[in-house]
Amino acid sequence: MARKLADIEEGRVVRIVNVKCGNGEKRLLCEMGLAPGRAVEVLLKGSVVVVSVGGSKLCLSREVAEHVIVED
Amino acid sequence: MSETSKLVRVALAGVPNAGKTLIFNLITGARARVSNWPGTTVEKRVGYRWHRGYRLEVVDLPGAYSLTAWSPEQEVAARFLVEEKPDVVVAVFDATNLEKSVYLALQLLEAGHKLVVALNKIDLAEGLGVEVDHWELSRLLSCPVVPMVATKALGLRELLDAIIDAYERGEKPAPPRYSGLAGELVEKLEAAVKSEESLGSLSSRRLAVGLLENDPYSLSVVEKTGASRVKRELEEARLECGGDCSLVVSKARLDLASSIASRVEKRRAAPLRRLSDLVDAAVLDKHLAVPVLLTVFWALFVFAFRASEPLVELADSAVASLAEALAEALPESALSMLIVEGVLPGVGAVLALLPVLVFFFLGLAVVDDSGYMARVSGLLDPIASRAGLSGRSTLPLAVCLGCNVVGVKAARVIPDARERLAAILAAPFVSCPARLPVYVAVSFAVLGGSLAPVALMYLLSFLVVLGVAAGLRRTLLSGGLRPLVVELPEYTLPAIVNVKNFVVDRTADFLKKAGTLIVLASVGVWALLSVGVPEGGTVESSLGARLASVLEPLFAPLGFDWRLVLALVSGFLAKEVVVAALAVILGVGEEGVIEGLREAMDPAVGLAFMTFVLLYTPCVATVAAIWSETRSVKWALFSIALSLLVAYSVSLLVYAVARAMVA
Repeated sequence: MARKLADIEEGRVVRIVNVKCGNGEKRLLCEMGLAPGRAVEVLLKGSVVVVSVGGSKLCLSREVAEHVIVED
Repeated sequence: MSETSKLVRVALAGVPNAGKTLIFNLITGARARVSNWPGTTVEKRVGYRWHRGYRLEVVDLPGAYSLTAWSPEQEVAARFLVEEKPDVVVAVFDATNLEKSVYLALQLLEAGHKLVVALNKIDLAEGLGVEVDHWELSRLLSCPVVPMVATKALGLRELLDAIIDAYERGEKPAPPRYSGLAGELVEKLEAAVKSEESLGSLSSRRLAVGLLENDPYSLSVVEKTGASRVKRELEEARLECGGDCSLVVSKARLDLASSIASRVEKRRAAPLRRLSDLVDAAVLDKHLAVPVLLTVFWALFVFAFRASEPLVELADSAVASLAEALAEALPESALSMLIVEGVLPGVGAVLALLPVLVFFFLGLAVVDDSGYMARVSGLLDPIASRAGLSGRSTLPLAVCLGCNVVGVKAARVIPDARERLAAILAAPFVSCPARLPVYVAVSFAVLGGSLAPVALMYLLSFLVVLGVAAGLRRTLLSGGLRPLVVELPEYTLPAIVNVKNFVVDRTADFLKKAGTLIVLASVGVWALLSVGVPEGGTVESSLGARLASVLEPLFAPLGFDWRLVLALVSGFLAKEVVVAALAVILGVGEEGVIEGLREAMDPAVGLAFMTFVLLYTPCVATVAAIWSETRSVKWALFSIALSLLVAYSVSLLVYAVARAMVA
């Protein structure tokens, strides 16, 4: 089931299905490792969301995490 | 120079936190010529090294995840690589974060650069149970790979040899091939580029990929030469991608980077729960994050302002005794007055500031180098983004509460040049302790000694800082602020070389610029207050008083008479001077200032005066710091103009409101 990355519980691994934003932002996120098809582990959730993707750790604002659609 | 001494131009590229600066320092012996990239405020570092009869000229490119021009820094790096065509590009890899490093390397290979990979941090990777097969990596990227531990200077010789070997070999590496749609598109477009004679001199692969990725340089080349077949192919490719091919290409590159990274990483153990993750669980915790952040900021403050205290006192007393000794030794003359009353106080102010600066840079370098700074920017981003800034700007601005000069210098931790400039220009509006005596004196004189106006100044300061930053970010310095995605590097012990360099560079630069400017300004203000004054005469007949009288009509709407104006003129030197200057101008002792002020102002004028003192140029040292940080006289002058304009208009508003409330 498709959900927002911001709503995923800590410790879960999910797969990105879509990033909802303009092309420029999409490309920026892609260069940082966030693109459809990629596996993401949610490490921490607080005022920011910390995820592990492709071997690196990224800190996303909640706003960004709201726009990343993932599925189990 | 001997016959074999040929110049090899080397560019260092790498993702942030890969250890690029450290490797630059290792190669060049930490002797860099620092300047600005033409037309920008992005710092350019160039260093040299002799190796095997060659003279290596090493340029440190700004750290970036890709060659896409997201920020002035990245634009600079991309433009340099295209226009200057360095002989060899060294890609510094972070062995603990291979995928991102490989992504950048693929872009560099595509652009046709002769690449040498410096595979750094192999010790950290091993600590995490990961071994990187550097032979396989070298085969997959078709370029030499040198394993390194830069913190221990391991692999430096091999890296230098590899650079020279690559230079001598002279052949270009094979560009990467993508599978799927991206591969097809690149191939078709490359064929079109090759068929176009007018584009003959350019790397066909670089141009083809550049066009697909909407790179402005590539697009303009095709536009200029009017290569019609290339344009047609590009249109078709765009149709196939649904309008924009850049995503298709970036995604293909990411997939390739990911597959290369997983093929060369040999995990010896299941990935451990990394130590950094445990630290982050506390540092970024919902409840602990803010207390931890405040503690770190507070510790930095205490370290900078308290630990340096003995040295500050030492500097103070040294200057005082020097002044005394000089006053005795020199015959009484205009020159000795100039030195003792004009030059020494200014020099003393710089010297007294120096220990604070050094201690602060030391603390800041440690916080930055350890990896905590990246966390700060994540945590504070939601707040700062309202003023068009990122979380990184909050620390320098908070530091300004202790000293504007230190805050301006601390802005160095803000990676984006435009945002950094906005923060630097907003910094002088933060109320530093030097303004406090003025608030207090005015409050006691005409506002019943209440603390409320003092608190009001801090509130006003907060609002103006946000307003100025937001205003600048929407006009002159717009762009660069992106959806927040920061990489959180592994926590590490700070590298001594980096910390030392950070401190030494900043301090030396400040001394050079601040020294000259402050001495000049000190002499200027001293001259204003003493030229034209006859023996035993008062300040009223001085050049400054006459100047202030000329300016008086301008300040009449604020209710300031010439005496207050003259105090403001001398306060340009430093806000610490204002109360003392008032005492001299009002013809009272420093204890009598409050009495004297009562006669010179009423409550409304008092509030307007406090506001003006809060908002106009805090001190010459800040101007000097802005000058040395932006490396631009223009921005330093802009800061003065901006602060005068803001001070005047806000004071006018405060005065009008206060008048209306009294009436």
